[in-house]
Amino acid sequence: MNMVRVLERTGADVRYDAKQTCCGQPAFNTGYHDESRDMALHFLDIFDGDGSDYIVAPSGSCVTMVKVFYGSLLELPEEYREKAERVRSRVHEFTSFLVDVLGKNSVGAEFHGRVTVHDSCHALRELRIREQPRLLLRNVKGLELVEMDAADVCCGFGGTFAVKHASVSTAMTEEKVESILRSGADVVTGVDSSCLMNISGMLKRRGSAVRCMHIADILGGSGS
Amino acid sequence: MTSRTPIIPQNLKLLVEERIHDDGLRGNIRRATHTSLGKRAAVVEDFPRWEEMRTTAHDIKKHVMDNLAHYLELFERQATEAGAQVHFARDAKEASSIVCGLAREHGERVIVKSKSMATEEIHLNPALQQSGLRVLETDLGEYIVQLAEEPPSHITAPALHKSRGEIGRLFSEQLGIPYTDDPEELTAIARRVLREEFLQADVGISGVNFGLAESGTICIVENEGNARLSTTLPKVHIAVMGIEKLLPDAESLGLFLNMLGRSATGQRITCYTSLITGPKRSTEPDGPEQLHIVLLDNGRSTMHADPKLREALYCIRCGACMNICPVYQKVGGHGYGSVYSGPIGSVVTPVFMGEQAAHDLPFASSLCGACADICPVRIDIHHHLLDWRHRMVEGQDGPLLERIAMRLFTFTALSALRFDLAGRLARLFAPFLKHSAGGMRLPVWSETREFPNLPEKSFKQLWKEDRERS
Amino acid sequence: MNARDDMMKKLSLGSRMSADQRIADLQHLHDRLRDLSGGDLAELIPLFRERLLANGAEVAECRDGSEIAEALESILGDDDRIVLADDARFADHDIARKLSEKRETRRVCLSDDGNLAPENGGWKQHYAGMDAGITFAVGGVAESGAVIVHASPGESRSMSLLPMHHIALVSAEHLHATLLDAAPLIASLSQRNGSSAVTLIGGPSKTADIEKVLVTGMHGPKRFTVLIVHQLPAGQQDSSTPLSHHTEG
Repeated sequence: MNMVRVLERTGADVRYDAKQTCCGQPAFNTGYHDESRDMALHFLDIFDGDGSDYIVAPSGSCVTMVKVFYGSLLELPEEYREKAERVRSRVHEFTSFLVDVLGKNSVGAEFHGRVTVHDSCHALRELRIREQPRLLLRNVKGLELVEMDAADVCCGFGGTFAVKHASVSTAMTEEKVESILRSGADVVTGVDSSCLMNISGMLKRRGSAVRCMHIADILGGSGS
Repeated sequence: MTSRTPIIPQNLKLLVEERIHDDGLRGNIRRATHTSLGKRAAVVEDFPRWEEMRTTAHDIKKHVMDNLAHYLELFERQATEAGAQVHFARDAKEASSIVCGLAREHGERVIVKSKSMATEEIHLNPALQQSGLRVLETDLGEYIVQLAEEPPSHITAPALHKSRGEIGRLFSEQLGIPYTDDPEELTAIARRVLREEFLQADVGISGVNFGLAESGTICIVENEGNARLSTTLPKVHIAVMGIEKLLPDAESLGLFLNMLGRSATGQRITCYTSLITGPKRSTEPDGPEQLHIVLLDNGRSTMHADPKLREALYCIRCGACMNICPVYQKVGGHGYGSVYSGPIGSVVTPVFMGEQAAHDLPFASSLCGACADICPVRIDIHHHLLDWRHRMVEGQDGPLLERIAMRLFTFTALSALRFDLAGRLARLFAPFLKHSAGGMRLPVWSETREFPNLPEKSFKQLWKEDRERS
Repeated sequence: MNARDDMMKKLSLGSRMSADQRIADLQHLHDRLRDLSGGDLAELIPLFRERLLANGAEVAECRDGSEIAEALESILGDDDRIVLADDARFADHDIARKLSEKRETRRVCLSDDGNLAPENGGWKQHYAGMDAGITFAVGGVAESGAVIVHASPGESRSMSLLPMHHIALVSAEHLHATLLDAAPLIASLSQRNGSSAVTLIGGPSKTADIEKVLVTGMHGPKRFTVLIVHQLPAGQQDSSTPLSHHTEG
């Protein structure tokens, strides 16, 4: 709900269509294009022509699926190509929407703590989102932004990779967690919940006090 | 560390497990890859327009691939006119039998080889040995792995997985010399041993980094000088060249040389770049009397015919994608079980070894995309891995449980009602999966990480409540 | 069908550009290459020197031919055994004679007809026993920090490879800013009636195969020195003029 609050604070009229489910990325990433395509068509049916100007999601990964993979790596039937094109141009990742579309660099938030950013791979490399979250965080009252080393290195999640190659995934997450601990931050944030869930899973297992928070929860907050 | 599991892609999980907990190995790989990356970053700064250079390099390779038949014929004609003998090999077996035939004819004493991935790909060394020939790898890294009876673990640094201590013990055992782990001394020993062999060798075998179509020239890039020795001292030089190595001309080569050294080892230019056009001229003082160029297909024409896979032929084998890959950094080249390891290896291996053998490779990646970002010729490596996952699943139907799970999830997600219901059920049953530390307990995942508790309410419920309030 | 025709047939199915299209496309790529190469590299010699040093080479400079002998003396050790390129320029200013006064000096070629007989294994040892090989480079590439040498009747491949020290003389006038600028030279040398081996040399032979520790002199020269001669007459390519002064070890 914090994303909704932030968006409404900027004066946006936020709508939510309860018929929506999933963009189809999990199946797509695992190679199941038929299943993924079914979900993609469902997604496009719901969002195309729904009367809204923009589609905003608090996930670089889901946005990548729609913006980058629909119609290119995931083939769509002829009659859905235009639909996909229209939806693609309207869909935005949350921080990119605030900064690149609305031109905001501050959302009037307050948060007390040392925060470090983990760059999620899809957001960083498919959508080129790197500065947007940092810009917004720098303008949060009371927030100290610290950089970890290797912020742009994958956390090791990778969807089914984390289960299929759990030991490699774990080794990658260990390095990420060590970078975070070295940074001295109390909070690690990012634009994708899945990475944060993965990182948080190991931080908790290690009994660390460092918390993982989605950036919407920081920008939507008014305290620590 | 010598593995007991045969290094083939079918053993992927075992190979990974044998390596992932080996802290020494991980340390070796980490040190090596990070050194290369650091040097690379420093010299890439020479070119403020590096990103445009990548695009241009990509487009030159595209141009060559779109006209491959033309450039291959031109190369063949020009090389032949310069006095080289050009051979065509459809597959690994043909290539290796051509080389073995030539080597048997000329190689009585010893065959010296400079580093070449193409000859690894066609498994040339075992074939030469079966022909009763003595073949010696002369690149220091290759020499080390040959002594250790291992395959190379990295395109440009074959022994990167080994520490100086391991190499010192290996030299001591294999060469019967007192133990030393000083790289300077070890290198001097290798120089001495190998120089004697060079002076005796009848046949030199090399790979090729670039082939220039306009002049039939082969270009070999190296630092040690062993490729120059292999292509200068023996009376016969055999070069094995993948047909994708072609460039139109010397102008294009300039760009690729600028990018290859920087991407591979962080060098502005490697110590030696040899441009060889035909055998020694009659008026030249030295050089081989015969130059044979073996043009290797081995699946490349299949990749060429596939509009999606064609891009994988742009690869110039710099190894930057391995250095940057967080998975490669953890398991090393042997962890992949294939000749070409790392991200690009997982893209080309299914063609070279078959989809069955390489089935797991495209899945051994978190798809982070760092490989595509660093690739000097802009191959969308991680997207190719996604494409392979799809092909693998389509071709072999994927693991049964996974398929059922995907179907079930799709069925659920196609209706908001079912999706909601599934969410409610998950929240209802989640408490029974609780782990003592507070999170949910899931198989595999929970061995190293907590799984968060599901939120008590879905976004949909929160949204509804919020709108009802306002 | 033989392997060649089989491969060509498969490849031609996926190569559909017409000759005109192909030429236009390549022309366009060349334009882009030239655009990318355009940089302000006015001061070539300092850049050349800096990049050579960064590559692990040693650099010396002298004004003209009259200073070459002296410059080489300062680079060489007194009892270095040397092999000289068979180049008339070494006869100028008595360079060859001056150098050979102190030390054992060989020329490239063993036999009187200017050729080495490859079946005679002796020629390999002929170079291998030498401490330094001295050659004339046909050009230098400043941005890369490399010189261009080529096999010719007066210059063997081995003399820049087998001795522990390679010294390359290069004329400041033959410096190219970038590899692209040097491409026409490389292309003309690499023609079928040109040289069988054109080599860009950017530093001493080296390896980092053991724990990324840099060690020089892996297989080739441990030292690589570039002597930049500010005014040097052009060489006589394909000249096989025998040196007037040489001794056979």
